[in-house]
Amino acid sequence: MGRRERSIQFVEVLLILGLLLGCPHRLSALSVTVNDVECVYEYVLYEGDTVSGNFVVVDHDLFWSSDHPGIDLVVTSPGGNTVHSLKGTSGDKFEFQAPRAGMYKFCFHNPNRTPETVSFYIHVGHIPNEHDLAKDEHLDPINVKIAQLREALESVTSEQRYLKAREVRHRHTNESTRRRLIFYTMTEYLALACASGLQVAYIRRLFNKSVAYNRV
Amino acid sequence: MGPGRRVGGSAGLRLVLSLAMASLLALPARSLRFDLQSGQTKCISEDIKLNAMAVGKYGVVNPADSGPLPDSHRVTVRVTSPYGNSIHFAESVELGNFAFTANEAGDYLACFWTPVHKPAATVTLEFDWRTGVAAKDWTNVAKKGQIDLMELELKKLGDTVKSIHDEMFYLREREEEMQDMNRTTNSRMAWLSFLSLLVCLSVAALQLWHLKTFFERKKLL
Repeated sequence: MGRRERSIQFVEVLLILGLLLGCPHRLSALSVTVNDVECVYEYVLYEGDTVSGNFVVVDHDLFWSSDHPGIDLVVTSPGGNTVHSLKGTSGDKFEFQAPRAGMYKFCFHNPNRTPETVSFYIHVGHIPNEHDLAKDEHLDPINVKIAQLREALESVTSEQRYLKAREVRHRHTNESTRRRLIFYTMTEYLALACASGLQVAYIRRLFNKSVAYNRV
Repeated sequence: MGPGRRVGGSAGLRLVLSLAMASLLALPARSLRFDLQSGQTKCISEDIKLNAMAVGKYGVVNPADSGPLPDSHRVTVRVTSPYGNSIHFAESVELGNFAFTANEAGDYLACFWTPVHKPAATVTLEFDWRTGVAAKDWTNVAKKGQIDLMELELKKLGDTVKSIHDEMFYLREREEEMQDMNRTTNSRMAWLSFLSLLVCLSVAALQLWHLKTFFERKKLL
């Protein structure tokens, strides 16, 4: 009985340590302005964790210039090698399995001079597998199912955030279209009227009595 | 040392453990981090819905892991609402937190800046901002209801599903607004192009009429 009590206490201490070091899920959904390079760091706790996320570039007000070419995303592992890279997109989803635990670097690179606002979302998901189940006797198989359910709901939430960010960008584009339409059309009318007025004024001047070759 | 006392001791420890696990699920040990150069300002914004809870925690990462940080490694923080009201302001601090309920829907901005320092120092800032379901204080929920860990997890999942449902309604509303706007832009473009043709023709007709009367007056026609 005494030994059983001691073994339970030992396992609970291990669990406390495991809890202090571990965290099943974490997320960040934010937006930053990228001038040249902006890097954010996320810590991946377990090797083999699925790191998923998305980012959408919300263009700053464009009135005269053409669309922004897009920004690049480079994900670097703690070892220094590139795990994932996306070039010249205006928004995309990404997902990869972390080859090792550690601090991962997500860098957004803006090739243009105009600052762009990027709204991104990074989620690190961990599902306990059989190895974790065997190590820790307090972890039920039902915890695995709950973790899978949680990860599935997280993927739905992530997709919703992506759709919301894309909708913001779409709305931005539509409002810009509307502004440009009204402004350019009014300018066109004005230019037409001015050109016609100038034409008439010039022709009148040509037939003016005071002009030299008209004097009879 | 009787059986009752032993059982009581392990049950108490289990409750503490479940609370610790719940608290860690609510506020993880690590979060997003980014670098700040001396004198640089970085702003992070998040779109928060009306009456949603938001909780934020920030801190300067100490590279040496010991001793107090010098003055150059302190940050000034300001959190502003979409209409410009300052929600949280802290000057020259190493760490802090803030919590608020969103009275206005829109983009909330959290700006960090460090004082200018002659040898340019890079400050690593750790920032954790959670809104909605993740911002809820699950330790209190666990304590109040005296529920076990699995039920807490399932409660969290239930709240997440509800927030997903609400978000779908919101997206649907926004899409409807945008479709209306697109439709009016479409009809407006058709009207304005037709009007431009009218303007062109009427200007040409005016020109011709004016020049005809001008030349008739000058007895050239």
